[in-house]
Amino acid sequence: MSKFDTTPITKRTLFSWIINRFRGPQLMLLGVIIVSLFFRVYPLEMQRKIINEAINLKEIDLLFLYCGLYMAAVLVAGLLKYFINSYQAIIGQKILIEMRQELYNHILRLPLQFFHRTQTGTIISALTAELNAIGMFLGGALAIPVTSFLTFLAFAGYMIYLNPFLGLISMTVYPFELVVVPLLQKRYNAINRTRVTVTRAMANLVNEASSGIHEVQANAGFDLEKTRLDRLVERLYIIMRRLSILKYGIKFSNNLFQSLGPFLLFLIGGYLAINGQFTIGALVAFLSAYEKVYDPWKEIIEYYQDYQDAEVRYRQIMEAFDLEPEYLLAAPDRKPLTLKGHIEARNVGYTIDNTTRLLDEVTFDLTPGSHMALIGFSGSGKSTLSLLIGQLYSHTQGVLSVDNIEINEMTKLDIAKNISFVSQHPFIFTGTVRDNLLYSCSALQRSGVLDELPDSPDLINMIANVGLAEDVIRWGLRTVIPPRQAYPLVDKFLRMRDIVSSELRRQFSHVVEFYDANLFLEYSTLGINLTFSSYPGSPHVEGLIGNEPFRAFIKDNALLPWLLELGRSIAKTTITLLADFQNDEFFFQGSPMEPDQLDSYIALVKKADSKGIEQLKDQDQDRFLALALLFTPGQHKIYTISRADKDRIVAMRQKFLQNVLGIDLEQCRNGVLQRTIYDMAQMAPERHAIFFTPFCASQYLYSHSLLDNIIFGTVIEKDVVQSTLAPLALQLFKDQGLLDEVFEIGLDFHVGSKGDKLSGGQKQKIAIATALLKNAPILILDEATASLDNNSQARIQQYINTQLRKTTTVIAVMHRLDMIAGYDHILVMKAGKVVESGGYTELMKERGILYELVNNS
Amino acid sequence: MSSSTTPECNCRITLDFDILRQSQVFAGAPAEVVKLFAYLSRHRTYQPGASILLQGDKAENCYLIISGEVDIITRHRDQEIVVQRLRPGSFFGELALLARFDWFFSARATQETEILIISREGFEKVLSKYPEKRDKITEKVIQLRISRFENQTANLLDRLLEAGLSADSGPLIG
Repeated sequence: MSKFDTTPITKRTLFSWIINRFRGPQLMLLGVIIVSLFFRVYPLEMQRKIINEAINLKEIDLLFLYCGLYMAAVLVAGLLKYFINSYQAIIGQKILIEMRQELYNHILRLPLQFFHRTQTGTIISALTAELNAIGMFLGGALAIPVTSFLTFLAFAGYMIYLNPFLGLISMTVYPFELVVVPLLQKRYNAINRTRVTVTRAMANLVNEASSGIHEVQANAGFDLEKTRLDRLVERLYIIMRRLSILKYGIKFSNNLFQSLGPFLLFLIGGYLAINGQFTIGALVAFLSAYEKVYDPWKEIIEYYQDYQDAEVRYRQIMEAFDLEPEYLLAAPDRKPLTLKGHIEARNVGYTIDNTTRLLDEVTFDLTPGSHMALIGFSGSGKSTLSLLIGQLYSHTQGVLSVDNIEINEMTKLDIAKNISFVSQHPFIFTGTVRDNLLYSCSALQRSGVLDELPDSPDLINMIANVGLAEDVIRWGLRTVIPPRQAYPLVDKFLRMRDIVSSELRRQFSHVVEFYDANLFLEYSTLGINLTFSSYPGSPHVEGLIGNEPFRAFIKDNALLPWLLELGRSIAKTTITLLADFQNDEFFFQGSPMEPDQLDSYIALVKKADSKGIEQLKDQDQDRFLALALLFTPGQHKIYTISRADKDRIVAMRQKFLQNVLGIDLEQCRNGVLQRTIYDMAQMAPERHAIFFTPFCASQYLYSHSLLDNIIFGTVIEKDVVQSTLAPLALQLFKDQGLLDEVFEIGLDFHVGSKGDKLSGGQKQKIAIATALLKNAPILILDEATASLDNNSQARIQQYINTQLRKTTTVIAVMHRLDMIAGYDHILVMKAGKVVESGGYTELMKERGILYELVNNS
Repeated sequence: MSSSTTPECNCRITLDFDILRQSQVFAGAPAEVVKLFAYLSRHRTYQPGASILLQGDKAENCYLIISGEVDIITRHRDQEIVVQRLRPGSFFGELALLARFDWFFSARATQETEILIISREGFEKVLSKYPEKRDKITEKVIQLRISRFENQTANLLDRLLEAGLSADSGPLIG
């Protein structure tokens, strides 16, 4: 809750945000505004004096003085205005930060049901775009009306000071406007409210279609979705049309009133001047003042419009989230509870919408450290019961307590500290594996409940417990290790390379293409085939093409014309075959060209055909060269090169290695090459500029993944290599004493957006490990092992049965009946009620429902 | 084959184009369609005894044997039964082009075997460009499936008979 305001966030008015916050800065802003008023009126007075005194009396000195003063005042006024505008925007953004933080905090703590019925799109757009629009208004919310009002008064006052009669007359038009404009504005607001609603509906629709894109594509629901959107688009069009008509109507009436003023001025002022009752200087100053007086008036009108707009948005945002969080985050008067884990349910019921009863009369008593399995058909309420114990739902009847404290009376921190919950489809956050494993513990640490996070040995231990070890090794293998982290381990990695090379070469000969300086590499680009090196950006070729020694090499050895011709042929065949498939990346997998390059290559080929390829500009030639150097024969089916060409490339490669890089081929192949210089280039790039790192047997390739380095080749069939290599690598890492280091590397693997690089099983194992690391006295598993293979399920069940016995109270919703024998207590549920309750052996002996379930499964 | 229908490039497509052109499913399809399938297909070599696909896995690809030999195996009552032995020129897994399902058989190379693989994704993408060819090719796939079914049934019945089951010992399926 805010330190400024104890009213719930959704009940506050828009102005309460402004009045209660940043009072000092806002007062200062007001001060500056008042000062600036003087500098805005002063130039008018100078105008009058310039004409009446300097020009009339022909006083050059006075002319210079007044003009100087005029300019100085204008400059100061401009600077002050500049300051006021920026400072006002800054205050607005500061208020916006607090508004956004408090609203986000409020939303995160709303009951789960809120999220079930609210579209994600609504929440996202409320917190981002819609709040932004309000932020623009906030900063000036107080300053603008005050400034405008005071400026208006100042100019009007000056006019009356010059000539009271004329001044009052030119003011008479304003009251009319005070009636007409608000009327139009009111209408505008009403329509604007509908606009926000329709836009939001549109956001929801798009969000829904993109979340359900599987269904849309599988059912070819394109037209259906389009029709739904079209309806909204049409409505939005009508609304926007009416809004524009009104908006410009308001503008028109303003302009009309605005030009009424000069009309009156010239008519009456001119008459007075002709009769000598008014000086020309005063008339000029009066005209300027009249023009200026319109600015604050316009500002007030615009402010009024912005205010109405912001108010509409603000109300709509706050109404969308106008719900009370069910539970306090922390109790104000005590520390979070430390519980033993004695769970008791007496006649617990759960009713939603006052009519639908999902759970009824559930009763059990679970002593600390004992394990209970919940079983039953789907829809029996077993999952709901586990959610009630985890305080994710709130029971509506009976008593549900831990250590005799009612669960509904606990705070969120009490629950977080004492209960670990693993759901059936755990959510994985974007970040590393380590971030996810530590999520629960980090949250507790931030709340001050936990002193220290689990350290690396704890994590590695837990990885093994839940059966993630091989997965973590696999992630480690896929990682391109940063040079500084890899360097100390390079010797050991290279030893593993030797082992793999001597033991697995034969087995992997069809699924891996090993690097060999004497062989053409079908699965590497021609650029890599020629240089047999990794280079900045490899396998991409921009850097390579710009590398002087390489360019000189292909030129001197007459390779350039051949490569250019090759690039042109590849471009031509790609264009012939794929011109109709430009919008589908899938079809470009067999060509080095990208779909979006197709058009430019069509033009380029035309140019080359008419002019001759040698006549092309360097940058055009480079584009053909890029295609040729990116060409990977094993992958790019669009083209092929002859055996003779491949032999020629290998010969050129050897020449390149010897002449350009100065490498002894034999040493490179046999692994006795001095590699310090290449390692140094990685460790201290500012002192050792190395462009090419050769694929020599003794060379660690820092730009490649650990897997590539250990295999020392290109993996052609990833599935085969991964499944064979991971268990073997686990053993090898163990032998080399590298296991912990590789675990560390694997733990830093980035799981992709929401864990999309992980399998369902891996996600569940991570979620279970995360929960276990919290070491809470109560563990709730809601079918937490459902998507694991049999071995992994058995392993985790074994861990629960042995390691958590007597120490942790476990409640597990089970779908596999062959794994429930180890539980102290079984609760069999059906249609929201407990139909059997007792020990496994006891219930089996009774030959009741459990017996039937077990024997029929 | 007339030169106008052959891809006139120096590419590996030519080889696969000829193979597909002569296959049961794609014979008679227009050259431009076959050319695209040839472009999108890929080669893979299996060692003797290597598993090509496994019963229960998701079916994503269709396979055409170029050289070598493949056993089609069904697991029944925890026993592996070889239902058919396929030679170069034969397709298997062709139903994967038409529908999503889990493999109901396994395939294993008996010797070094080279295979041409076409994915359902590629198949669907090509036919969405040429929707009018879909019916014809679908029909060919189903005809192939039927002849395979006849073949396998005959094969099994032969073996049953050889195992001593006489023709009048009652219905096999009851």
